[in-house]
Order: sequence, then C-alpha cells, then structure tokens
Amino acid sequence: MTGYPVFVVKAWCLGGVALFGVALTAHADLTTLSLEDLLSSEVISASRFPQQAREAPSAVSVITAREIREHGWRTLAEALANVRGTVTANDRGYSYIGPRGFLRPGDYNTNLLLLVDGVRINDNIYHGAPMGGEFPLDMELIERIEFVPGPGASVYGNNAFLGVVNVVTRSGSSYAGTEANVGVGTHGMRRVHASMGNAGKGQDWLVSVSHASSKGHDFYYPELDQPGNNNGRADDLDGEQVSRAYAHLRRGDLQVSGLWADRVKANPTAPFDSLVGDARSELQDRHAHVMAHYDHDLTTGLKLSVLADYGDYHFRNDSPGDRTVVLGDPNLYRDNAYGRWLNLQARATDARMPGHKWVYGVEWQKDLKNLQQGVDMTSGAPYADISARRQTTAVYSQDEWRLSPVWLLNLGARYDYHEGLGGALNPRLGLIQQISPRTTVKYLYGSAYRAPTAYELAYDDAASGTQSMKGNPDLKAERIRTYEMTLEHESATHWLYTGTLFHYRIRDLINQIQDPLDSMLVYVNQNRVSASGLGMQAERRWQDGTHLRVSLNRQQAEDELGQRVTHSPDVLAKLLATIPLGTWRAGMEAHYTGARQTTGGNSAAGFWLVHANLMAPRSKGGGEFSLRVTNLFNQHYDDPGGAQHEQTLLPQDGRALEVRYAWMF
Amino acid sequence: MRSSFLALLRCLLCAACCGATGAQALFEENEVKAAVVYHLSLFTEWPNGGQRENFRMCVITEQDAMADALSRLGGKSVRGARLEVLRKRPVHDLAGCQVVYLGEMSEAARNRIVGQLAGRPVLVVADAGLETPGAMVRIDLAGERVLFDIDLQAVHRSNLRLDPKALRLARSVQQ
Repeated sequence: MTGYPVFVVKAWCLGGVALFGVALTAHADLTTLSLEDLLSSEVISASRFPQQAREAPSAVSVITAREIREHGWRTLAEALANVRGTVTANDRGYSYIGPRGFLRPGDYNTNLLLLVDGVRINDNIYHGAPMGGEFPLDMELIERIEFVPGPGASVYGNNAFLGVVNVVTRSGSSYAGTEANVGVGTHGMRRVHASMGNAGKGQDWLVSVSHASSKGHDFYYPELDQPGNNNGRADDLDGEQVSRAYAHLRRGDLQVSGLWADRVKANPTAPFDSLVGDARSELQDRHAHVMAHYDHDLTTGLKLSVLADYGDYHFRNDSPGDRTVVLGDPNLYRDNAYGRWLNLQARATDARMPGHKWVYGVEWQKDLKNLQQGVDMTSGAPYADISARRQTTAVYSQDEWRLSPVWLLNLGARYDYHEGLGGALNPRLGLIQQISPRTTVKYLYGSAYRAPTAYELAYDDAASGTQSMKGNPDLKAERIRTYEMTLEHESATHWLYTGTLFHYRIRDLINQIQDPLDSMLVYVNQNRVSASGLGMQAERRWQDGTHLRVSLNRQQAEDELGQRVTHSPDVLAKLLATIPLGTWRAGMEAHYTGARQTTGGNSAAGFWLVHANLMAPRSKGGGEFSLRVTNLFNQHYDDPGGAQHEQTLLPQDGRALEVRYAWMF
Repeated sequence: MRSSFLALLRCLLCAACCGATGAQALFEENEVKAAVVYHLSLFTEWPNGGQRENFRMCVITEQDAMADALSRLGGKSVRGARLEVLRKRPVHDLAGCQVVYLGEMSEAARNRIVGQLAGRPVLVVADAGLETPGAMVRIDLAGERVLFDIDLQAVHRSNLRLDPKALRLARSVQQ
C-alpha cells in the first residue's frame, strides 16, 4: 500500500466532517415531543469533560459501548488499539497492549492491570491480562472501558505498572429485553451471541452466552523451513474457539455476578522449539469468576464498598515435539496451569470533611491453588510439577484535597506485602490546576511495581531430560517511576485537546533471556529502561453523531546502554472517525505504527492499518445490520516475535470481512 | 482489488456529503435531558398552585452545554406562567426556585444544596453522574436512552404531587 490513497481518503473524510459540523448546529425544540417519545429516542452523549475525568490524577481515555458498536470491535485489544499512545501486537496466541509505546512481547500483558467492574482479571500464575479472544467477556456486554495510563499502584497494587484498564459491564436495564446477534466472516469466522436483561422492583439482572469460531490463516515461516519440520508450513493451524457466559443480579446495594470463558487457539508459530505444522499445537485459556459487590452509603458523604471475588484460571499448552532433539519427535508435551484464588477488598470513601475526599482501603488475596504441571503425553512422564501458593495483603489511602478553587492536590500511597517476596510501597502525587472551567493542567508523579510471577520465579522443565527453561528464585519486582504533565482543554467549539509529556524510568525489568552458559530460557532482572515522550490528541463530537479523534505519540525508550528498546516504536498515530451517512453510520480507524526493533536485531517496518465498519439503522423490527472490514487495504505487516519464537517477525492478518446482524426485542 | 475498495470508499464518502441534509433525527443528550426536565415540571403540582408570574427553574452545573440546553427552555409556559431559567452557583439562595436542576459539581456541593432544600416545595432533579440522596428525580443515561428514577418519599416530603403518568414512565419508583 502506498501512503497516497490513504491520505487522499483522509482529506476527503476530514472535509466531509467539517461540513457536517457547520451544517448541523441548529437546536431542535424537543419539548414539542411527548415524554414517551423523548424517553424512547436514541441520544448521542454530549461532548463533555466530566468532572471525575477532569479531576482524576491521570489522563483517562474512555471507550463507550456506542464506539464499540460503531466500529465493530470484537476484542478488547481492538478497542484499546484506538487509545492514544498504545501499541498492539499479536503472536497468534495472545494479543498484547503496550501503553505509551512500550511493549514486552510474550509477557502476557503483566504490565497492565485488567479489571472487570473493579475485579482483578489478571490470573495468579502468569499475572496475565487477557486482551484478545482470551478476554472473558463479550464486547456487547461492555458499558465502557476506562484506560488509565501511568502507574496505578498507589491504589491498585501489583501489575498497575504501565496502566490500568477497567471494563464496566452494562446493566440489565440498558437491555430491557433480549438481544441476539450472529456474525459470519472470511477465514471461517462464525459467531452467535444472545443476552437478556431487565430491571424492576429494585432488581437488575442480565444473562448472556456466546460462541465464536474461526479458521484463521495459513503461514509459512522460512526460519523454520527444514524437511523434518513440515518445511516451515503451518496450514490450518490458526483456528480459534471461544465460548463465554455471564450473569449478574443486583438487589439494592448488593450485586452478585459470574463469568466464565473458555478459549482454545491453535498455535501456528511453533514456540518453545516445538514442531511446525503439527495439528496438536494448541493453547487453552479458561477464566471463571464469581464476584460480589456491596456498596452502601453509611451516612451522607461516607460510602462503603466491599468486593469479594473467587477466581479460577486454567491454562493448557500442547506443544508437539522438540526440534532441538530430533526433527520429527512425535511426543506431545502438555503444560497445564491451575490457578484459584480468593480476593477480598474493602474501601471507604469519606467526603465529610470540607475540601477533602479521603479513600481508605484494604485488599487481601490468597492463592487456593497455584500449580504448574508438565507432562510428556506420549510416555505419561511428568517433567514439571510446581506448586507455589502465596498471599498478598495491602493497605492504601488517598486524599483529594481542594486547596483552592484552582488547585486540587491528590496524595495517595499503598503498601503491598507479598508473602515470600517482601513489601512494596508506592506513593502518588498529583497536582491538578483548573486554570479555567475549560482548561486543566495536571502535574503527576507516581511509582509502581510488578512482582515476579510464579511462572517467572519457578517454572522449569528439568525432569524432561531436555531441559529448555529454568526458574530464578532470586527475581525481584520490577519498579517504575513516572513523571508526567498533562494539559486538557475544551475549546468554545467543543474540541477537546489533550497534550501529555512524560518521562519514566524502569529498573530491574524482568526479561526472558537465553542463558549463554547452558542456553536455557530464564527470567532475569536485567535492564534499566528510561523513556520520554509526548502525546497530542484532538477530539470532537458533533450533534449528528459525527465523531473525530486524531492523536500522535512520540516516544523514545532506551536501555542503560542507550540502545533503543526492542518492540517499542518511536511514532504512533491514530485516527478515528464516525460519520453518519444518511441513516447509516460509517466508522473508520487508521493506525500508524512506527518501525519496531526485534530481539533478532532486525526491525519490523512501520505501517498504516485501516479498518472500516458500516452500520445500517435499526429497523422497526429491532434488527441492525453491520459490515466490518479489517485491514481494508490488505496491508502486509509483521509483529515482532518473543523470546519463545524462532521467528523474529510474525506475519499478521490481511483483509478480512465480517457481516453481522443483531436483533433486539 | 485495492482500487475497487477505494472506489467503494469514495462512493460512501460521497453519499455522506449528499446525505448530510437528510441526516436522521438523532438527538443530543443534553437537549433530550432538558426536554425531559421541562416535561417533568409540567407533570408536577406545587402546594400553592402556580400563582407566581414567573415560574423559575434554577440550574446549577459546571457543564455549560447542559446549562445552555436548559436555558433554551426559557420563555415557554408552565402552568400558565412564563418559564424563567436562571443559572446559579452552589452558594446562591435557591428558595425562590420551583425546579432545581443539579448537574456536574462536587459531591459536597450537591449534598449541601439538597440539605438546604429538604422539605421545601422545590422539585430537585439531579443528573445521575453522582449519587444524590434527597433528589426527587434522577435523570440517567442508560445505553442510548435517557431515563429517570423517582424517589416518591422525597416528593411527598416536599409536599409536591407528581402526575401518575410520570410515575408510569419512570424506570424505577422508590416508595
């Protein structure tokens, strides 16, 4: 793809959008409509700058249910790819999100804390944040996604290292009935989803189930092209099967919800020296949670929130053969991980003292199961069996102190104690200056940590006879300090401008390397990273539903030797547009990712990626049709492989089409 | 293949330009909320009837767009009186208002206002960005619809009467 046509189209787009904005600013007199009509009409959220976001000690990005629908995003990763400054990657097994252009391949997003309604989704073994098909919630169930870049450890503790993603689920009242949708697409994509919910008599309930499958792509990996290795071909080995279920019931102050998701993904990339093109190569991720929320106003200005979560995670990796031993090794190596934990949190929000808003909280998490097992399926011989249950206890406090109408001081700190690993104290300081009702400047400092995972600390396959991985019990937590300045301004014409300058330093970064002494893969606290960057964004929503957002991020991340950090592009640009076409609506997104260095010393070239979605108006019968094209210009691009891959570059998906139809009744 | 996609895209954008004049009736959130507040004031009965010359709606919000939408209601008629929409600050006296709209402001300011108006015959409508105990009506946005909830006890405490039709159209009525 040459750059020229895209820019022409963009210019057209912008021109069209500008025209709309001017043409449709007249205000209709809606008081002539009946109350019934008003309550049943579809509305567009106002261009606004909510107080909570304005006063938050970070530059929050919010993705709404409406945007998810208008752009047809099927995974959390696809939605988060539109957040300013994020870089995404896919290794055909998992999707990765790197805030502020920083991404560690193969780290299962341990640098991000993923919450669903405030409940920690990161599992207790790998601490991974599932972002692709493995994310356990259907996108249709999301009310909004809040993305908070920067360190969040002063409130959330472990893993809130580079950012926090909080997914807020929809209420049953927002359904007030049943919704069913089906999707069919290229590469064998099939999907069905049904949900039902309602509210009344002080109750709110929602139930949802879905199933999706796809065949994926065929691949050829020249690096693995050997006669005993299927000549580097991985055909029909990219399929994915996802089943999910969700339910909640809210009664007064108490909500109980449950979610369950099972994702099986064939893996064409032959990681960890397995054989290419073997149909048994497969990954499975199963997440289950039962959670209870209790929110109660004790007195005016004093609120208590209690949260309990019972989490369960199962991971399976079937890895056929070992190409370091003998090509054509028929053995199947199966890794199973079983995690189960209990998490309890209590938080009090006290706004009784004038000018202050105090938050006090405690959190306790205990592993009920933390098991990593490896079995040679052919001989039945186990090669790994590691149990490492731990518990974590934390206390935190925060105060929002209004010093004057202009200045707000946000002070917070949290102390986490990880059994067997020690403690971590993480403060945050935010000074928020309300220069005018439309302009806010934030000066922020914060630190965060990421504790080493059970996998990084202890996993080894020593009993296999052909050991390729070893544990490192001396691993310490990674630490980060971030300094940031953010300017947010809403112009008189309702353009929202955001500018951010940031600098952060990471020490003791946990990296997987191949030990030169025994050539085994091992995690070490190896690097220091220092990064600086700036981000700019302009956004506007028009009354007719037109929405435009453009952002540009520049960043430079270097290690202690002054070398550019791998997988981190220095430029990221994004464009998001929603345009009404008569009664239809078109969504378009374009992302530019700058060149990224790989661990192999070469680099993945920079590229533009454009996706489009076209949505028909909801028919009288409640049906809604949409068409989505991903990678519209069939751009060839690669994501860098991780340490477990022989390939330094992993080719990604070309153009794909999907047609969807939704019924609401 | 690529050129055909581009051609399709150009067509779509063209359609966008041509379709601009016939854009569908999608309403803006604040406009709908303002109209709902207006309707609710039509559905409310005050203890001494509407003997005033002017019917006052007082608006307290940091959000200019919502304040603008409500101020455009000014001049309409409510119970035979001319509707006057006044923008107020949290520190102002609100006793002369028949309807008070509480939008974005600090939780403390909201609680103070609700406390100040408790028991008075003033219809307090709160936007549901924050919890506001004591407000008679909470307007909310769920999905893409504007909805409202009614706290009937708060209505009775203020000696107001709400038309049963408003109660029927509410998402929830707290008894």
